Amino acid sequence: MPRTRQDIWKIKDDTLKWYARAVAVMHKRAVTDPTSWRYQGAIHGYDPAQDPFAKHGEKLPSPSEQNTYWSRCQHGSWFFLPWHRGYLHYFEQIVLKAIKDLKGPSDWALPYWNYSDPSNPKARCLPPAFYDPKFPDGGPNPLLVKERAEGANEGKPLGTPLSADITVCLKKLGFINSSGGAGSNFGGGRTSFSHRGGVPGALELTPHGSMHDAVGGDDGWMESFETAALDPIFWCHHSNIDRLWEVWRHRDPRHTNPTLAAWLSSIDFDFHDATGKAVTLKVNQVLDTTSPLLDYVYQDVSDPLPAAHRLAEREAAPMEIERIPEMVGATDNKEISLGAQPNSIEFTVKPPSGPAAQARHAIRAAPPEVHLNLENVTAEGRPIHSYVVYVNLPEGANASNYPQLVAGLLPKFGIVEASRESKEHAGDGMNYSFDITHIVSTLQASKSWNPERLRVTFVPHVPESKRTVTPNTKPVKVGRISLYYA
Amino acid sequence: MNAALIFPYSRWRLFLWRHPESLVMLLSAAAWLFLVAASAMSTMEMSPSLSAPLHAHSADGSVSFHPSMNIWGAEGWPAFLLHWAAMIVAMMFPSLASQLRVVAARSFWSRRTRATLLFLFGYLALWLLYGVIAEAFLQLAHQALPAASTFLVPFSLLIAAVWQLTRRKQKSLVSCHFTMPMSPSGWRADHDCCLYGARTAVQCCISCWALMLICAAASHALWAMLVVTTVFWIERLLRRPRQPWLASALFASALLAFCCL
Repeated sequence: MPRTRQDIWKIKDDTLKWYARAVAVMHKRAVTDPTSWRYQGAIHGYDPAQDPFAKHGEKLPSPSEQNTYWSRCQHGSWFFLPWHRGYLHYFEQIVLKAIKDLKGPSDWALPYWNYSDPSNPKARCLPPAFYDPKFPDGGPNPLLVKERAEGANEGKPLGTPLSADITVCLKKLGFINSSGGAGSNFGGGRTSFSHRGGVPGALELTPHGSMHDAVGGDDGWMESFETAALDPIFWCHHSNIDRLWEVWRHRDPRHTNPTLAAWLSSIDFDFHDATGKAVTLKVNQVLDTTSPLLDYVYQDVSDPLPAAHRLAEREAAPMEIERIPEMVGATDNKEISLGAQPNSIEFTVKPPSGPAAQARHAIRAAPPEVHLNLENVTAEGRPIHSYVVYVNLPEGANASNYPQLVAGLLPKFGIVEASRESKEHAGDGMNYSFDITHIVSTLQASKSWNPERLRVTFVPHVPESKRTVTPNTKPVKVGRISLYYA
Repeated sequence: MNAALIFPYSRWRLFLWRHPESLVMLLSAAAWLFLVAASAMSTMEMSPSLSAPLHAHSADGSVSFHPSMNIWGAEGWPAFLLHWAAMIVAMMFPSLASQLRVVAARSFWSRRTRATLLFLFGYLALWLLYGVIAEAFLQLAHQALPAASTFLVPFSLLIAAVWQLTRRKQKSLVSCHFTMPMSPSGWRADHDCCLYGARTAVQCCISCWALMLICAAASHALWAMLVVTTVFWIERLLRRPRQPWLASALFASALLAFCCL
């Protein structure tokens, strides 16, 4: 009988209490122990300058061991979901062993944080178990991390409904992004094993990145690749991301995983099991959560979108998905600086002359898919805001009155790390792709779509940050904005 | 927006659209054929101008550094540049697949071929510059210390082994795959494509200058190209590139080369 991963807001037993006890045990272990809290966090990312537990002169694992096991997280990649599933699995096994050693339940499973649950008004709040200063057993609470967004440890809602939005990602038909990074799908773009990655998939963008921002706030641990996994809520957040992969697969028979060998079996992921023994995993070993290896199910993988959505999607879905994206417009290469005020940029759009023109000719209408790309998004210091990206927002308009023009959320999670040249990152920043087909359709229907000009507006996504802007505050810089038809 | 799309194009054309790097890969394969043919001709001592542009191989095919031509001679330079360019196309171009896809995808459809060629031009120009500098250094070393020139191959293997272990090498290995924003049209677009190619080559040069020095020191011998290409792809394709292992292999090769002298 597989273990059940429960919703943290619906837990009736001591699952979170046992989680806290195990975290306390893992914290006591040396960083050289693969089953320690710090080692597990470093698997996601490690930078000695950012390590909040670093002690002068302490012994770290050898450089060779660090190269193999640390800073391995996969982002902007089709390995994002399977790698994190393997990561969560072995972490869960380590926690479970610690709980068993404490004479706790043998069927403990990592809970998930369903911040998108419309039936729960507290869905975007952290449960008190994560911020109560005192632990019921006595002493400080191992699940409490002070480095979180303002209000997080007071039980206030984090982010906005847009941060926790799952409608865009769950509606994606395919798993792999379009080639060349123009157009995202559910699971991410085809890459080799790479910490730096390319264009993230829709799930990785929102709610994954946006909820990292929501919990991390200005400078919290959840805001950086290198410290995110040191916050106990990280694991429940990723448990939910892993659950959403199952939700996506179950909600439509056309939602299938890639079948390419390059994804399924070409790469071995390196981890340590509960005893600290080195193990490897391939993608094809983590696709079935009920297999003897993984042995878990989620409390709820039902479709959270209304049935009407499902029917409309099936009717609207194209019969043929052979799409070659074609760039039809872009800003020049002058960096676009994003600060505390909304910023709008306009650029010229040309008629397509390649495959998209053929597609348009074939259906005698507008191109079937329109994608907005943000290229080489960088920041030299922790950015103050994430941004809501609007398409053709009228000048001077109150953005909140135009939810139908929202292309998506530009998260700040990982931007600083991706902007620094290191042995993991090229320093060229992040790339994002938003499907704006529905916005173009809406504008066409109201006869307000101008096919020769596009206006993109970045509006600060304020709720997660109220930090005062200082001369030292570093803006987010967008290298280029481009528009694609496919 | 719900109509089925039917492209009246062949699978081959669709493949080329999806993989704009394909023709560059074919060019790379052709360059390998040229280099193998040149090496074979060298063995048969048929065409010294193609096979050993700057340094003649000995009659038994050994790989030591024995310059027979004046580098500043009219015949030596074009032949050297041709051979060095062929080496870069053969050995380095296949590693540019992801950048070529980015260049094509980030350009207007009508500019895809032009953008790709300009990127490759910028990339090749930088590597040619490095080739000239490396060759000039080797020539000067030979002229200054003629007796020591036979040690250049093992010495370059030793340098490559040490460089393999540096942090800068690791960083540039990742930075080789950086992307940059490019203007979409006009002369700025041409400039940016060239610049992107050149900046990519700078990172590749930092990463691989020591490996390519082996090829230069070995008179562009085929064995050196194969050794360097093997190291080059191991460190790119393996998820866990064991630089100490690669460095050890290069170090052992250096010892072997010393013993063969």
